Amino acid sequence: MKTPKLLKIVQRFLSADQAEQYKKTKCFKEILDKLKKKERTLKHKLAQEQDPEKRQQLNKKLAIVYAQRCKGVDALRALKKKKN
Amino acid sequence: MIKNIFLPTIFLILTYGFWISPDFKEIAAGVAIFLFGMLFMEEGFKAFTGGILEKLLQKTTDKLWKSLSFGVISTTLMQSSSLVSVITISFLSAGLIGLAAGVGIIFGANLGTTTGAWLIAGFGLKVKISAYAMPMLVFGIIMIFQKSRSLKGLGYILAGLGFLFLGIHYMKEGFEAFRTTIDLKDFAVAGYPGLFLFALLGIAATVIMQSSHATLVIIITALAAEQITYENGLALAIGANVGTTITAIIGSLSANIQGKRLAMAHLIFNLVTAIIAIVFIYQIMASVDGFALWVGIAADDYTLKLAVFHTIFNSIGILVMIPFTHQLVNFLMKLMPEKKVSVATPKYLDPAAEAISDTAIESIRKETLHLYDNAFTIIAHGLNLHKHDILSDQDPKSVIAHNQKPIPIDINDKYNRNVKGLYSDIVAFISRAQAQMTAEHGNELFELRTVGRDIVEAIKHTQHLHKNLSRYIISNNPHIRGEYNKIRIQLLSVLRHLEEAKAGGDILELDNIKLEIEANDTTADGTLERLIHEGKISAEMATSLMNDTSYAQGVSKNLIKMGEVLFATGDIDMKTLERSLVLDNDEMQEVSRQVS
Repeated sequence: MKTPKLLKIVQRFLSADQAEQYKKTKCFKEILDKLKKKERTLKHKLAQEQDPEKRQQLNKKLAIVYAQRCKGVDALRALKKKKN
Repeated sequence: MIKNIFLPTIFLILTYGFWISPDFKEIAAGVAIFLFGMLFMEEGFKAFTGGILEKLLQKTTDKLWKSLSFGVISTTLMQSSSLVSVITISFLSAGLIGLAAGVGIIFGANLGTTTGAWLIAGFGLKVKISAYAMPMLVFGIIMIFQKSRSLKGLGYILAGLGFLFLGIHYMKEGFEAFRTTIDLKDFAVAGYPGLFLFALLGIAATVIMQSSHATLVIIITALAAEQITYENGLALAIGANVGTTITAIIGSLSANIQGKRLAMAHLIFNLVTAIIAIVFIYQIMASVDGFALWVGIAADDYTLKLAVFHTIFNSIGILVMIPFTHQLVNFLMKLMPEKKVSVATPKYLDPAAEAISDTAIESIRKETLHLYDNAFTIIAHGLNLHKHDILSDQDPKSVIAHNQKPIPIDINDKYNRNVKGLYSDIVAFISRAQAQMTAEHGNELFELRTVGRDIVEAIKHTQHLHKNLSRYIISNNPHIRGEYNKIRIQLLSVLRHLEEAKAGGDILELDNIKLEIEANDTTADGTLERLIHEGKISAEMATSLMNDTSYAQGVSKNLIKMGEVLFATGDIDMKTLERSLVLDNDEMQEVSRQVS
C-alpha cells in the first residue's frame, strides 16, 4: 500500500465526522449533476415543443427541477461552510 | 369442468324431483328453510360477538364439565338435542366458542335428550317446539327492523329459530308419506343380526321423522302392541340416537369448517355410543333390570325401562368419550383441515438477513415493494381499472373511457389476503432486526415501517372511494360521471408516475405529480360550487364528491409519501440526501405561483 493512500485511510479513521461530510458532499454533487442533466434535457425538449399544453407541462417540470437543484445547492453550500 | 356442470345438474335433479313428487318438494323446501334459519341465526349471533354473549358463553363453556352441563341443561329445556347441536354449530361458525367447548356441549346434549324419554315415559308429553315457529318469525322480523344492534341480532336469532322449526316441520310433513310404510313386524329377527337391523331402522325412522323423540314414541307404541321384542326396541332407540345427528349434518351444510367438524364430532360420538350399546346390550339390559328392580319399576314396564336404557347408554358414551375429547378435537382438525385461502407470503424476509443491517434493510425494502405491488392491484381494481391499462402508455382519458364497467372486488377480503399478513410479517421482521442496528439504519427502518402504513391507508381510502365511484361512473348524470372519472384520471396519473419513479429510482420525479394534484383540485377550483349552483348535481352527489375527492387525495398523498421513501435507491446516505431535496408544501406552492 502506498504511503499517501494509507495516510488517507488513517485520516478517515481519526476524523470520522470529516469523512462523513466528505461522503455527503460527494453524494450531493452526484445528485446535483443528475438534476443539472435533467434540467438540460427538459430545456431542450421545451425548445422543440410547439403544443402549448405540453409546453406548460414542461415548464412546470422545469420549475420543479430548478427548485430542487436550488435546494441542493443551498444545502451543499451550508455543508461546505460547516467543513471550513 | 365438473365445477361448471355441478350446479346446473343439481338444479335439473331438483326440478325433476319437484315435478314427480310433491312430497319431495316439501322436504327440499323444508331443508332450504332450515338452512335459511341457520344463516339467520349465525347472522344474529355475530351481532353479539365481542359482547355479553361471547363472555357468557366463554364463562359457561371454558371447562369440559361446564360445556357438558350447558349441553344437558339447554337440551332438557329445549327438548331437542338436534336443535342444541345446530345452535352450537352456529355459535362455532360465528366464532363465539371453540371446537372443544362445542364437543362438550354436544356430549351434554346427548345426555340431556334422555330426559325426553323420561318425559314421554313418565307423563306421555312432549314439548312441541314447532308450535312456536310462527310467533318467533313474526317477533323476530319485527325486531330485525329495529335500529338497535342488539335487538336486530336478537331478531335474527329468533327469526332464525322460527325458520329452523318451520323447516323441520316441512321436512316432517314431507316424510309423513313414508312414515306409514314402516311396519316393524316385517323386520322381526332374533339375536345380533336383529339388533343391527333394528338399529338401522331406528336411524332411518329418525332421519325421516327428524326427531328421535318421535321414534321413541313409535317404539313405545310398538312395544305396547307387542309388535317388536324389548331387545329390538332397545336397538331401535340406539339407532334413533344415531339418526338424530342428521339435523346437525344438514345444519352444518351452511356452516364453516368449524361447524362441519362439530357435526362430525356429533356423528362420531353417537356412532361410538351406538356400537358400545349394541356390543354390550345384554350387560346394559342386565343393569337396566337391576336399576328397575332397585327403584321399583315393574319388569314389564318397558316404557320406563326404555328411558333408563336411554340414559344409561348415553351416560356410558359420555364416560367413554370424555377422556378422548382432546384426541377427538385433534383428529377432526386433521381430518377436516381449514381450507387454505391464497394468502400472500413474504418472499424476501430471510431470518438470516436480520443480523446484517444493510441486507436486512434491503430485504425489508424488497418485501415492502412486494406489498406495494399487491396493493397496486387492489387500488387499480378499486378504481375499476386493470393493472395493464395503468402500466400502458395509452392516453389516460381513453383508458377511462374504455373502462366504465365496474370490476367486482371485495377490497376488504383482498386486503386481508394479500396485504395484512404480509404487512404484519414486515413489521415483525423490522422489530427483530431493529435491535441490532445503528441509529442511522434504525431511522431507515422507521421510514420503511411508515411506508407500510401509508400503503395500508391508501387501500383504506380506496375502499371508501370505491363504493360511490362504482355507482357514479355508470350514472346517467354526465356531470357526476365526469367528476368521478376525473378522480380516476388523477389517480391513474399518480399510479403511472409512481411506476416511473420506481423504475428509474428517481423519487424527485414525484414532485411533478404533487403539482398536478394541486392544480386539479375540483373542490378548491370552484367546479363543485358551479355544478351545485347550476343544478347539475344533487346535494347528495356533491357531498359524496367532496368526501371522495378527499379520499382520492388521501390515496395520492399516502402513495407519494410511500414512493419518496421506498423508491429511493443507493446507500443510506444517498437515499437520505435525495429525500432531503423533495419539495415541501411551501416550496411547492412557490413553484406553483411561478408557473401559473
